[in-house]
Amino acid sequence: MTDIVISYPSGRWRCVVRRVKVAVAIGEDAFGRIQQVAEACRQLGFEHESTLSGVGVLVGSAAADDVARLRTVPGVTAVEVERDLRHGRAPRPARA
Amino acid sequence: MGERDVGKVGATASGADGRSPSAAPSRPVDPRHTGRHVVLLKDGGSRAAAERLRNATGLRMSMSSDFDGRVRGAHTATGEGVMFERLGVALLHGDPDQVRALAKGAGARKLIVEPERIVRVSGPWDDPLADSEAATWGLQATRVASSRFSGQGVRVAILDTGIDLQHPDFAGRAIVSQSFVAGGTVADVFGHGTQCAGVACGPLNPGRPPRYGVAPDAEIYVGKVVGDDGSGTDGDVLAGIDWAVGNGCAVICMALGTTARQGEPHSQVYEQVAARSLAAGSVLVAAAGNQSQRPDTIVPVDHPADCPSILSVGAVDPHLGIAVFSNGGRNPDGGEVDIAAPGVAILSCWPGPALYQAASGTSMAAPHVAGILALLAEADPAARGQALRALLLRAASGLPLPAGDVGAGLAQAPQ
Repeated sequence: MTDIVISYPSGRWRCVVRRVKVAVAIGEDAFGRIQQVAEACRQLGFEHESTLSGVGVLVGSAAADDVARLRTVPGVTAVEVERDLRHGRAPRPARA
Repeated sequence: MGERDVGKVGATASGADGRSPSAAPSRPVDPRHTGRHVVLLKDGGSRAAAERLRNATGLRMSMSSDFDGRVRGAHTATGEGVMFERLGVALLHGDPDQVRALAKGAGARKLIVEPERIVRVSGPWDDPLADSEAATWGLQATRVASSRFSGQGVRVAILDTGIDLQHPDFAGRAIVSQSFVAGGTVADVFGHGTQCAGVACGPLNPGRPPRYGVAPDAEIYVGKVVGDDGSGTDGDVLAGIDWAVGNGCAVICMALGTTARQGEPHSQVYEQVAARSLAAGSVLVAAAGNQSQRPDTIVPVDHPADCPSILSVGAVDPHLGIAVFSNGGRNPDGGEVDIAAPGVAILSCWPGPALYQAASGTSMAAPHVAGILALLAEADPAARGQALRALLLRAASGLPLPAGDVGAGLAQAPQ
């Protein structure tokens, strides 16, 4: 998650745009036009970083307020904000 | 209570000898015993019977009804006894000589005396499994050690913290690797990925016995999706899945996750990805998570293991009981555990210079399942994706534990 602070010269305005990393799932019927779907997302502020064409996912970032709008793009089936994942070792000392 | 005469008053009994009731009992010779005794009174547990016990042993007797039905063994101090009226059983906390005095009494034929045993909750196997010279307890429990399959020709992806490519146990193995973590190589600084790769695909004859790897001839694909600090992001994991599917991996092991809250729906993105992976012939396996503190707290299965199309793996201990940390099926619609595997005190390889280390976690259980899937995939080359997943679940050995904790049961290797 990244906060982008925009300050206006007058000093009267200060705007904080919170950007989040997102994963955008593409429906089966849109697999053949995944780049068009990516372009439609970009026009809504999606910063497209990579295309996982094998599993039909676009990875990138967007303003937090734009996440809901991305879900309205034809061909998009789910948009989720990235979570941090950790290794799955138990938080206890190992027993030899 | 049975009618066995274990510890029954013998001929050496010395009778009531007027010892002080507060005399400390002898320490039990058998560590399974507490030093107290339980006495079955064939005529029932009346106050009169308690009085007879007092006369015979010199112990101060009380009735369980005096404790409003909440009597505990702790209520009997040294030199005391308590009568469970409804059971017709007394618990005596006295010197063994005082208890043996019962044999001298006129009613000795109406009594059975046994040493009080220490009991514990147990799994189906009372004797815990242990590593042998030949194989870890995990490979024994899953019947990997006796399997004729080795994962030959099957590609297994380990999406984790990377791998120690210099580890002697991987020498000569063709390992395809790729880092999805910014600015890093696949070198495993954290150690977890090497450990998981070892359990899933370690060698038949490691540098130091016992054998710990399930599928020694599987083709290893290592995707580093978790950084050197042990954490990563969905984007990197999804990129790793995409890479593994694209490389034709029949099995993708993800011993990672993050907490899913009670009632939280599973990820739609991961579910679609997992369904597509299955359709492409890749089974995704994920650790159920380790945040539980059983028996008091059972935490829902982690994300992404909570997706219906991802195999969620819980952990069992060497008693084949559920591991105290293993998360359980608390959320609906995919939040169940699908299968269980050994996950406590699991020996595997580790980056040098240590080379070997034991660890616990559902992340040790998940690679057991990943390796067994590779064995099943070798045994049935036509079975991939959903068919392979079904084979695994059908072959599981049932456990007398809640399905929410262990799903189909303990994963089993084909023979």
